[in-house]
Amino acid sequence: MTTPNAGKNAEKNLLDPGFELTLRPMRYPDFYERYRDAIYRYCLSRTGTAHDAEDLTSDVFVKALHSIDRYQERGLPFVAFLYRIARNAAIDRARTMKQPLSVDELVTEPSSKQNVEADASLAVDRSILLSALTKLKTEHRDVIVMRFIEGYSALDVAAALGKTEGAVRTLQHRALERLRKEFDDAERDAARKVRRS
Amino acid sequence: MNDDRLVGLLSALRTERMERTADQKLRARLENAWTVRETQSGLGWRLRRPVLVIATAALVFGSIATTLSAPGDSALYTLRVSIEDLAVTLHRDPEDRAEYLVSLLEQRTAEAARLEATGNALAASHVRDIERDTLRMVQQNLPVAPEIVEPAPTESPSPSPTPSPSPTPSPSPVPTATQRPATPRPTTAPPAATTKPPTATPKPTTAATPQAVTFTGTIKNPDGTYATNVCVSLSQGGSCLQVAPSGTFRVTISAKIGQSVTLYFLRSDGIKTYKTTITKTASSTYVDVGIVLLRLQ
Repeated sequence: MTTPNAGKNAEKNLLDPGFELTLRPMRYPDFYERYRDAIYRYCLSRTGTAHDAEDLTSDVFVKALHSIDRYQERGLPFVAFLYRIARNAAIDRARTMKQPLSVDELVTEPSSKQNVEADASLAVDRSILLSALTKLKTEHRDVIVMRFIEGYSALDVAAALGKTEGAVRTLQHRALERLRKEFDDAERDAARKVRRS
Repeated sequence: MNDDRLVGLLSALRTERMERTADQKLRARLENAWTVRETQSGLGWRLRRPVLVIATAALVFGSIATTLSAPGDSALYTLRVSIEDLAVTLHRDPEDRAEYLVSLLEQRTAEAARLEATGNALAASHVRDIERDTLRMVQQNLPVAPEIVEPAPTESPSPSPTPSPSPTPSPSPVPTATQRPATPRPTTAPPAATTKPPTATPKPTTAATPQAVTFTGTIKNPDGTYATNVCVSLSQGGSCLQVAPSGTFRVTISAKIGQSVTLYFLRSDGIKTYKTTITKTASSTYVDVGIVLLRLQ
């Protein structure tokens, strides 16, 4: 794909060691290349399904493209700007969604035929986890995604969310607790349904 | 479910990627959005809105200017008159309003005259109609000069003041008044109209119709210096038609041609009061009363 800004700048940015939490506004397609998967995973944690996550990711990047000129360096890293857009886009989308996510819809076909049982178990766990994630409060989900899925440090998450490191750690503790509960509930429901069928 | 398993499952999500087809679709969408954005951020695109605004403003102002300078034979003249008439309400001060109306009347009179001179009778008659309406507005808005009831110049030689239709010959002999014996009018015939036909009346219509009459002049103090801040009114202690600031005055009132108008002048400097009155006949629509000398009271 040829883009007006592909080339030197993109390479420079990709080599920038502080890239991920850079305070500088990034240009298209740099930010897409760099954050596509991270934003997709965030969207997946919000929607629970790959198809919806793809649509949401698409909306997020188009919105980011239109509003990138409005990004101003106010101590918040650029990635926080993207996450904020993703959060708002997800909220907008959730408003228009008619039905809540069902665990049954999340069960996917195992990808490998060699270890069918293990793959199936993993796929079910993944689906239950995604379902549980969608039920979390936004700030809990944000911390979980950034800390455990994206692997940012507590300090980075604090910078991205505009909170203190201590507050992030507290949130993380509560979020994990909440997620465990949601996961257990979803797992029990799934087991009940399997027994019934 | 323990924390380790939960964190392990969460970490496994780190490998989640968008599908290639979805990625390609999204790239195409972004590419398109980027192209549009780049186009719109160009100089031409950025200038489009201000240029549009300026062009619209120029068009609006141009239309207004054209309308407000439309001649009497133009289709826009009626619109111009409507706008000008509407603008009367913007003049809150009665003096300003009167001045504005008088200027409108002058403009419209001049326009009608111009059209008549060029031979455009239809447009001229239209403008004359408008002029008449304007005159009516002027009369409604101008201060009306009070009618001065002058002591009738009762002719002393008439011994019988009662106008009885007596067939007895009046003291003024009418040599040729032999006709119309059946209609003995109480009013005596004009003494000098013996040779003229009875239809020759000296401007009865202009004398009866109130018009905008402007009085101008110079006001001086008793010592001959120009008087400043003099209140000019139509009655003793009445509201000022104008506070003449620099020794000259110009007031426009509604009066009949031939009517006597008394103007009252008053100036007070806090200690002394100067006043005077002057009575002039509105012989035309513009009367120069000359120098008005204030007197110390």
